[in-house]
Amino acid sequence: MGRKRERGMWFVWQCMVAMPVTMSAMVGTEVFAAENASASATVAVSNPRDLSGVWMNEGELARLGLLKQKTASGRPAIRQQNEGVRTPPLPPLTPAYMKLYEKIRAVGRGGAPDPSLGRLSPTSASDCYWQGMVTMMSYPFPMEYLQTPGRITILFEAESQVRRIWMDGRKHPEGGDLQYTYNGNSIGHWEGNTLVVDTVGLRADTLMFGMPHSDETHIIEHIKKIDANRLQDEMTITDPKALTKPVTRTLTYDREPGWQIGEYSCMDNNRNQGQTGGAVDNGKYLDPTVTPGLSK
Amino acid sequence: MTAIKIRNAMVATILVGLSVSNAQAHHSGSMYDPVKVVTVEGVVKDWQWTNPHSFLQVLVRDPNGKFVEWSCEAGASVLLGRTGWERTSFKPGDKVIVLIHPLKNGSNGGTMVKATNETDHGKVYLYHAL
Repeated sequence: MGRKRERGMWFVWQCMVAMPVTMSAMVGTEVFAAENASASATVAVSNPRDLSGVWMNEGELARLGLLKQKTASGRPAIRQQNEGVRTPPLPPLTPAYMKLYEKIRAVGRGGAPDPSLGRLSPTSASDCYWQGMVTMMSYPFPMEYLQTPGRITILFEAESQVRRIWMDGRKHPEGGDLQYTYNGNSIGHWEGNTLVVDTVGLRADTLMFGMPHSDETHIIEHIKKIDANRLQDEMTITDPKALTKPVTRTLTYDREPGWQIGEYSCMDNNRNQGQTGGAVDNGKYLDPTVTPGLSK
Repeated sequence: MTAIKIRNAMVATILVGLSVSNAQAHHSGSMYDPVKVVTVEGVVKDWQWTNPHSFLQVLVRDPNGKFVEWSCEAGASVLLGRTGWERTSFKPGDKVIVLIHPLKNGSNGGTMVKATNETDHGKVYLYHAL
């Protein structure tokens, strides 16, 4: 594949542009080891504060058979999304939330649907409800970081969703000004070369790693580049109503310089919604020259 | 038209069945039997290159000689496009051989393991679903 060459080209580009950016930002230049250890003479110079580019969660790359990175044990990274649904130990939930979690888990393990769960049903993704933070950060679709003055923006391929991380020093809105949304209200700052993101204002009707949560959820992320082509996001979730202690998960992403973010609408051909065989397929069935009945 | 038939399900003890992937599960991977593989041989009625998942609709002649439609599910078009599949991989009338993990409920469908387009020089497409 042309992947290696693309990476090489990205490296050259980084050498051309990253260094002046780094110097002007007064954060110092870090030298990362090149991806290919055998080429030890070559090192990639990368601005550790330049997070821009397309990133894909490594667990999902492994599933697609595209992961080149290996974990320390030499095995492909395991899937990280929703592991709380299936993997013990139980999350540190307060009794009321643990009860709710058990109901969710029973459905997730193949039990009968439970209408009382509403959007907290483990089928909410296949029913095409938005998943919100933190699931979007571990979803099986890539995301693109954009860096512009005062702001870092994450564009998700799934549902063309957006996270805006305000870097201009503002605080979270308070009281009635705080909106409760799928992706929450995020403010960020740099600590060394780590982007620290603080998120509140998260709707309570979503799951986080398979767990229910409250409207008091507070997430702190420490996002940093491990090297030029890998990104790590350590998320710590605190929730005074739902959690007895913080839950921390670390997601790792691989840079995909050859990918363009596509468009993904879950409602395009979702057979869970009864669209059996009625695929839209880019509108071809809505073309009256293909489906003559439409022109009558 | 060349002979079209369903090969009987060959039950295989395939290890991949042990870990149902989440991405598939979130679009109801639990509907499929991960330890069975069924070979569907027929002609393409429609290739639905769509999200959240793509479907290859295959017409198969059943034991009574009648055509029945099988629905073979693969992944999101945005992801398939990064793993060698294309919007133009199949066209109506192409002769295909598709390996699927069948629906548990016995309906004519399943999630794809491998699809071979006999009409297009036997080109093979793999799907890492279950």
